[in-house]
Amino acid sequence: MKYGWLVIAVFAARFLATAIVYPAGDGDLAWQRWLGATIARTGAIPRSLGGETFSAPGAPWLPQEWAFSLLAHLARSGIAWDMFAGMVALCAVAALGIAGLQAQARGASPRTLALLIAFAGFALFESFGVRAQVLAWPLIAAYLWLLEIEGPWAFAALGVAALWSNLHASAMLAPVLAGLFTIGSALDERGIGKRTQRLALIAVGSVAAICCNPFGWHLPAYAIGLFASPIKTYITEWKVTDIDDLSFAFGALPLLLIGMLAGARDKGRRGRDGFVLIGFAFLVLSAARNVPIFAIAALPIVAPAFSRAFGWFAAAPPKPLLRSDRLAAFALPVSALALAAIVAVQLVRTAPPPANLANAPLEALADVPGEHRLFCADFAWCGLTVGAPNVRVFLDGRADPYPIAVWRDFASVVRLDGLWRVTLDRRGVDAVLVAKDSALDQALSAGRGWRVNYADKTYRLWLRVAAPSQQRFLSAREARLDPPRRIIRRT
Amino acid sequence: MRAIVALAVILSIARSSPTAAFAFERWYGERIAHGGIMLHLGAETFAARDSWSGGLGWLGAFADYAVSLGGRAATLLATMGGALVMLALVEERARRAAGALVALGAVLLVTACSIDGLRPGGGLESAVFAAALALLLERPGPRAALLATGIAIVWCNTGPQGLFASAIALAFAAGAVIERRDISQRYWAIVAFAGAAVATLATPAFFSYPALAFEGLRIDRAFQGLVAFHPSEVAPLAYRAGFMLIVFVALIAGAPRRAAGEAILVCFATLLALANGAYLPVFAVLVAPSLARSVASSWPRLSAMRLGWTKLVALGTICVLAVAMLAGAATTGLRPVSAASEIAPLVQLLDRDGRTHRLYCATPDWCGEAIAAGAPGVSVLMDGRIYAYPFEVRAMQLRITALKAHWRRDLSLERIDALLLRRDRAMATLMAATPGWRVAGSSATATLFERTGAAP
Repeated sequence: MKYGWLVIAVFAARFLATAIVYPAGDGDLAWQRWLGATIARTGAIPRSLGGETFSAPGAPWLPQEWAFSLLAHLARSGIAWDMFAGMVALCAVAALGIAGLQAQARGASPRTLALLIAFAGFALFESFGVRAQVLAWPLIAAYLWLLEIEGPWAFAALGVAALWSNLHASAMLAPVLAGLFTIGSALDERGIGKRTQRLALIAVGSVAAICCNPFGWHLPAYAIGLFASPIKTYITEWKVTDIDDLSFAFGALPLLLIGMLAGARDKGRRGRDGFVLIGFAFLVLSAARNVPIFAIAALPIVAPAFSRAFGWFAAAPPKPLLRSDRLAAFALPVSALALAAIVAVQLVRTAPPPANLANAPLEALADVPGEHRLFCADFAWCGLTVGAPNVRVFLDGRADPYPIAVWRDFASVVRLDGLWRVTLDRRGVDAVLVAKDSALDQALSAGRGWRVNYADKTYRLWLRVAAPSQQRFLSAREARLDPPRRIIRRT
Repeated sequence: MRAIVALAVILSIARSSPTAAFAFERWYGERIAHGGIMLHLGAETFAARDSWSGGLGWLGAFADYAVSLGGRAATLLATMGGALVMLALVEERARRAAGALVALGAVLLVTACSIDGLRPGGGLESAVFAAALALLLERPGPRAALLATGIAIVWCNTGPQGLFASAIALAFAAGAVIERRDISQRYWAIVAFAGAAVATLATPAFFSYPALAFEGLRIDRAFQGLVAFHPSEVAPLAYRAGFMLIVFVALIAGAPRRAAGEAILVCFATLLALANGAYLPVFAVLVAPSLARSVASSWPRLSAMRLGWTKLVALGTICVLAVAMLAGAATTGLRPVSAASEIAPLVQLLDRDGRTHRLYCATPDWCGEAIAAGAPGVSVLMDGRIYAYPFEVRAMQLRITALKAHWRRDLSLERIDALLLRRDRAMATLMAATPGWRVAGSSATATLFERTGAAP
């Protein structure tokens, strides 16, 4: 790992700087803080959408990121915030570190680790932010490592699965992974040996463990439902992975190619490695959001294979550890982290100010007297105003709990199909936030009945000047009568 | 079992309809047959008339036209022939190192990966050329080098994909050098590469072929928004049923050991498939036989397996089910929707008034179809030969398509008086509300707008 720690230090510096200076890449953090505040105030986790939306009040909601939201609320400013953001960055670093250490334990050489950790780091890059799923990354790495352990410590995976389920719904992967390990182990052992029995117990136990959260079995049910949810077609993160995605092209794809060339050839563990690689390859080729978890899972498997396949990257023959080696084992990670902190501080000091999110037009709207029914052309923008006293949103970054009918109407307006104006009228929208000069912006400027309330280089806020042509809005009750087909979540 | 796979492929092609690109190829071939190779764009476009196109793909277009003279049956038979030759070449290469059973697996993988292309104009000819080249170059020698050069020349004249010939030859030559094969093999592998490289100059485009062909491959993301690239859009079924399956097998088996050339080939083919889904069959024919070899060396029992009657029946059933599933899926609407039959009537509607029209299409390939519809009064802003259009025209097409600033001014400046738009897209809605334009016709996916007054 000696070179690997240096590579991790580079990424750590970048992650720390990004987390502290640019924590909010979209509007999610805003509504998550609002969620945290709600939990702190009421002492309960909301289970349905409330009056902050006018399109689907009362729709069932499973706020899987409750723990993250609570932390984000508690550490909302000052040094507490820096520490919270730093902790999220350290989760990404920890994921790389755990996967790298596991690869080293399996025989990957230092050169291989340096190269492949760099690929894995790139794979995390685009998805990284102060987001709930980042907290799950080290847990995935730890869970996979614990499954490898021969002995009773492997059962610690159950604790990891339980913790995981309180942070992110991807915990649903835990029993699936353990199941794949069990089948692979049975193939490796050519029968049901001790290891296979242990893994089978962990797989069954993981099913129970991921229900150890405030939502119980609803959490895995929700995560499974998400796989078949039609709303995925409207959400960028769920689009099929493309070579244009930098994190895929320069991170996951090289790891995938190395996996394809080297194969799961490790003697005695071909089944387990093969099944895990195939499972994660399916995920990464199916949706761009799975790029980071593929890299975390693939690194420990492909790194040793890469070391064996290429002479220059081969591991040196084992030799007795000297005192300096033992010292280096601790000194390298510590000095790497210290280096990362120094670089991160410098990056933070010289970083340009955060890009302008849609705060300014939303503040302008909040200043307009009366209650507003807001439609955002990018639903994530509306996340910034969730909980505002005089603004109710059509669709926001919580995304998943909104019924499919709301999503269809959203697409109807954003894509300007023939019914877009009727849809805005029918839903009683009286404020529309658009990207300047976008198609919807042009359509609103061409039609009558709308006026510009706010405009800057990026956004334009339109307010209705005339009553909607069709006065009958969908009532809250009607909206509730159109329930979501399943409970779903975006992040 | 081979016969069962072949039968399924034949049935799938027999029930297919030509792609939209095939109509344009036939039009292009007809022009070549009557007027010689077109080195420049003609009056079919108003924005880039006389722009250098180098006659790219003239031989392929001419062949398509010649075959189509025999009617639909001849076209389908030619496609079937191409597909079967491709599978035979793949099986031959796979059998060299693996047994019959494993080779059959390779054939099935290639079939799955080609499922969206099993139709006239589906682009299988590139896969045939690639399979033939790989078969030859695997065992370098004077005969292989000569034949490879010949194939590369024909391929380069058939289309821009001819560039792949030199890439494939380079992979094998690099492999021969890295693997330190004997001096003669290294020499002939390098000669084959040199031959394939020189072949890129043996087209009417001469020195401009590599540059034109690279753009014609449609792997350059500068065309984002103009053409579809991603395999899940271009060939959705092949991506899920074929590409993913090959990746999974590769993750288990790996590439053959001590075969650097094949490792390079696997990387090249995978990147190609991800860059543009149209090349999934090329990916499959290059990678599947390598995997067969790797599987055979990892599980020697499989390659040595002799098929008893029971195993034969069981395997046969599995093959029939797999192929029937693929063939069924391919013919029941899982293929990407093609508006092949929708564009021509709309353009003829436009041409009926006897006036000349300047047409913009939301998708350049639609304009290719509009040209192929044979409406003499209609010329287009840009058709599917994007590589031949100057930067300014491409930029304008992109500006209009993305509704960027001044797109309406572009329409006026170019005196465009007809628009072929997707019905469900924003531009159609905006135009419907724009004074001075009217809907002249529409189909299931497209709407034709016509200017009712003079351009301002």
